[in-house]
Amino acid sequence: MNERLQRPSLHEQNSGSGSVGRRAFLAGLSAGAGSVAVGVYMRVAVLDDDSGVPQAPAGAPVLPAVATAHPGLRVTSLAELAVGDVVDFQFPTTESPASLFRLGRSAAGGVGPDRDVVAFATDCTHMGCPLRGQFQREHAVLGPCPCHFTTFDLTHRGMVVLGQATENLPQIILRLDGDDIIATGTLGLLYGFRHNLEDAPIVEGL
Amino acid sequence: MGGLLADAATTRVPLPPPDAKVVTTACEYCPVACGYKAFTWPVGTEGGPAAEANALGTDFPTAPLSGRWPSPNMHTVVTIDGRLHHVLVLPDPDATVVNVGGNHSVRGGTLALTLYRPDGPTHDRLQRLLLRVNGTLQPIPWDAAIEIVASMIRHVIDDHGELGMGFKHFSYEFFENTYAITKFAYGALGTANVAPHHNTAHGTDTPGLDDT
Repeated sequence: MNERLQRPSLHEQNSGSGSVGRRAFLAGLSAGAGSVAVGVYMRVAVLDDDSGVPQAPAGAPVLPAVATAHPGLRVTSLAELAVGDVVDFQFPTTESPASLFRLGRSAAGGVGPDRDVVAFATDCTHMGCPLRGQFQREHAVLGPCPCHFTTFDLTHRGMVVLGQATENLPQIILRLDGDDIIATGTLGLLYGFRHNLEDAPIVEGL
Repeated sequence: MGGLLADAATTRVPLPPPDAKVVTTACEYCPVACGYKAFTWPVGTEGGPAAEANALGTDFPTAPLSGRWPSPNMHTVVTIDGRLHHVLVLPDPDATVVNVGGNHSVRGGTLALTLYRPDGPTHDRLQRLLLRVNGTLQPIPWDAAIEIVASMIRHVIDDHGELGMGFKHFSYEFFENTYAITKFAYGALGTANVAPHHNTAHGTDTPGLDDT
């Protein structure tokens, strides 16, 4: 699914040797984060976007959204995506399934000219059952989960709209590199994981 | 560890170490009383992702339907005996009735968040008994409060009979409280005027139950 590019090994990226991968990764961070770069894998504060989705009212307590970052994985390109398309991939580890959706309507964290391209982890945050195949294009939701019917809103950060999960569906942070759609991080803890990047092999990045 | 409140939106959840204290208990919300396990352990220690290195006895990442994944909202930090402790309230994966395998509603799944912490949403919780005297709430001890309430109940029964007493209570005042209040009202006092609120937390996997 991702182009096989010349890229440094994970070890080289972690060493902070100024490799192409590290520079590309840090450049990606600057698009959405105002944090201090302390290493390749770290938590970054993700500032919200101007997608038109309602934000917290003035004066309301705001919890900082915290994400785990990834060197970046090319998922697909804008030109290949029609409204309603779904692209499955593994991210950020080889054991964490995710899907990219072109919703046809503006979404929080959406990329592309219509801000309608989003990606989410697809293991249900209730008890881990697979949500792939449960996309309802008409309502821009993922679900009902085949196990207990939890359903998530893909336009509102994976918020639970029905069911029993205690967490949003983790959103995959996307950025554009020309026409390429790059996954660069994960917002929220993946089902089954204690830490998004420490419990399974990480998918090789750019 | 950063700000405790910020941990509510983290991408990491601490695991209980093998020697964490564990209590098997029931959900405080509805009369179904699903089984839960509450783990507590001091802040500064943490279990590992291998099965033998955590009190959940499972390797991470856990499998679907394992019932052994603590979501960040199942975790909080409280003070026990003057020391910060992690608390994890996990739907009991060993439950053999009601919530078999650790199934849970969104209410039960967030039980840990109901615990008092001075830096969280529960900071304004009432922590001691208060009596309004001349328009001002003043702290009073338990024995004084019990004496006042007992005197009031005695007055009502003596002047108006048992039916002069009525109770409105909620099952989410804990399973034990619900049992005690019901026995007290029906058994000890003998009043018929009891208005419980025992609305079960219908999960989306139990369609049709709300019609019964």
